[in-house]
Amino acid sequence: MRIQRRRGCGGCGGCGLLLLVLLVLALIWAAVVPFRILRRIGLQESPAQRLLGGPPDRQAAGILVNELRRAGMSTQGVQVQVLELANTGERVAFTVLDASRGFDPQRPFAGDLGTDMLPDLASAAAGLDIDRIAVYYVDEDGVPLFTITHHVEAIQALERGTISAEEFLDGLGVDFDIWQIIGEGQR
Amino acid sequence: MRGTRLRKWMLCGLLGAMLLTTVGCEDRAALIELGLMFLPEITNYKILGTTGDASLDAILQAKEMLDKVGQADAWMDQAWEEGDPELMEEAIALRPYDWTYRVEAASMNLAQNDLVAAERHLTAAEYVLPDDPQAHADHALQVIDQFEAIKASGDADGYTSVEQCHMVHEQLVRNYNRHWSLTGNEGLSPGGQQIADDQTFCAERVQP
Repeated sequence: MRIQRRRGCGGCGGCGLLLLVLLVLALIWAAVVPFRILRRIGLQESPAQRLLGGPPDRQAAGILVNELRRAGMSTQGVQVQVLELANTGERVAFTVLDASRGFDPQRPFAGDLGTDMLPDLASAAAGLDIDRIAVYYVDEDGVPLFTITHHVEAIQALERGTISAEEFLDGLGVDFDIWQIIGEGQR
Repeated sequence: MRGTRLRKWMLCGLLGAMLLTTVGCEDRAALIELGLMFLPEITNYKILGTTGDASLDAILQAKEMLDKVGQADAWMDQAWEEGDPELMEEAIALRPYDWTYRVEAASMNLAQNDLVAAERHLTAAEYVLPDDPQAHADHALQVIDQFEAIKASGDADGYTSVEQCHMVHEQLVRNYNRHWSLTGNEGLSPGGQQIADDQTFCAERVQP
């Protein structure tokens, strides 16, 4: 009698093991990268915790909020903070536009002159020694939809037309929840 | 044509948001378009969890940190109103690198005559201070501002203990002198010298 050695699924000896290893690796990756498990359980600090943990410049934030009000914007649902990056010393103006807290994305400005005011706002930020602007938009359900950031200098240069759109794009930082935005668009 | 459109986009989505949002871009399709334009970068970022630039990573992930600033500030305000140092500890735990909270906690602990806790917070505040002369000068000013308030109260109504009086004076002298030298002056600050002289009267200023 001849006994044939069993060779696993489809005749591939290490297939099951390989799949198992890949599955474990995928689970580890999913836990560490998208779900940030290490950060959630306190084993790893996020870059934001490490670099933006210092005290906010409340005075500069207050000035920016006043500039927004002067530009005719309702500051309902708008949060502004100015923080310094610990590694580079760059000052960043963070603006959270939170529709779940009353920010109206359809009419951020009371009149139609909002766009005309924007270069003044950029100047105000530059006058406060702010190097970067970051804007976060949170939808009506409290879900962050997008984050966008760039250097104030680049924004002003684009406005003056001294840099091309392509040059501008090089330094642009973006993070979008595309599926969420598409979902919102279909509502 | 594409360049013009792109520029319009940027002005709308960034300058627009320059502080404030997609001004005039009521249509969410515009947002989708911008998202798709950056799809490769965003996908890469989502898969790797980093852009390769620590500063940019920190900014893109800062929303949680900003929420913590709001929460911790609210707790600090509430702690001052209620005289609750425990609530300050919770605010500090949310933002352990914010030295201004530590100085505030030290002030409250000292005002309540808990000198050990006050000393602990002052030491921790200096430990987390960045290596930046401006931050050190701001820190010294905050200590001066808050401890002068305790001194004014102690001078008017009496200190709870001699040790409390000494600690208030010693910290004031130390920080007046630090601020003096950090702002480019030599020797001891006149303000610090005056407080040092005043310290000799501590024993007479304790509440009966």
